[in-house]
Amino acid sequence: MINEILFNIFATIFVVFIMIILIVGFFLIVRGTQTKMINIFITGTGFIGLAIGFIGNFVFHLGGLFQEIFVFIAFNFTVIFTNLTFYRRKKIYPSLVLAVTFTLGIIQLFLHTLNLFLGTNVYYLRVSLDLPYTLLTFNWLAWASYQSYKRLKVYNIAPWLKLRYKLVAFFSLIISFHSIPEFFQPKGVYWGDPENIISLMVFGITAILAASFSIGFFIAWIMPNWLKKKINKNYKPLEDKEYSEKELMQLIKKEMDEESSWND
Amino acid sequence: MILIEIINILGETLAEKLNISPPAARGLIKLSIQDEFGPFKPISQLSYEDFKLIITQSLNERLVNLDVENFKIIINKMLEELKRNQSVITIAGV
Repeated sequence: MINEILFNIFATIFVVFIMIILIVGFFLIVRGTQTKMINIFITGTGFIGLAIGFIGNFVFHLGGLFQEIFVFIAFNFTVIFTNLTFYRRKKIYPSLVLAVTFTLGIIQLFLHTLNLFLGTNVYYLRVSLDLPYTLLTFNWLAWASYQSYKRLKVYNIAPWLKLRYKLVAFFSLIISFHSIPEFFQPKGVYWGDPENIISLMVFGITAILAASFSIGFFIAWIMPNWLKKKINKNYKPLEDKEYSEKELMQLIKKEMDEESSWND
Repeated sequence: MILIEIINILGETLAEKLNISPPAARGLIKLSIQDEFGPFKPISQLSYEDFKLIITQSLNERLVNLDVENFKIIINKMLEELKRNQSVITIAGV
């Protein structure tokens, strides 16, 4: 009885996760189109792809391989987003991370295919390789966001913006661990089977991690105005006096002359 | 007009390098944006590549006209600062 209740709670949490990532995905696609930011459009597509994969597997029973194809798209799109947003002019490390993520994703697809068509049990090998796949994808984003936050925190920029960096970093770190519970999934048991307490707990922990991630990203990207105002309440944005071009150039020359006379 | 954030960041660097006040430096960057794209392109639609162009072309020209001796060093520093803080364009722009 208690197991059934727990299963329903965890399943509800999982549905919440899927609904939120769909909302965030659509929002980012719309904003990416409006602002002509291809990186935002890409990450929005990745989010929607992830939701399609889960819905296809759990609602329409299209199987693990179907889900994995969309996970592959979502993970690679996440790395592309990180590279385009934080490392546009760097070549070696971003390309290396993308190449490794892509390779690990292809291995996942191959192992799913082996299991599906040949019945080969490669569960623990697949899960072992899923760990670096997930860690790399989301820790790369977490690291990039945290490093940027560290550089930017000294500047007079809106606090809600700094919070967005922190949320992206923190919740990317959280979701990077979501494949760890899979190691404890018992063999031959359906994922989240209410009859098996370990499988049920694996499902529950994964659902909670996933839902936390989606809520964190929802707040980060679709931050309501009242929250922005609350966060910014002690913030004074820079307000520059309006100068004509002539006035401004005179001011700059004067300031530069003053500085050089101080040095003389 | 949230991309003003990147102008604030670049403005602080420029102010430090030219030994002028941050408002004057921000004004110089805004003038350089106008030089490059005219008054009709909104700041919110400027991309990383646009900012790179602004720095290497119109800001560069403005510094030359102001007789700034080490303008090449300043331009390189500005490009470095843009590269370091490029994510603001996306993170603040959504």
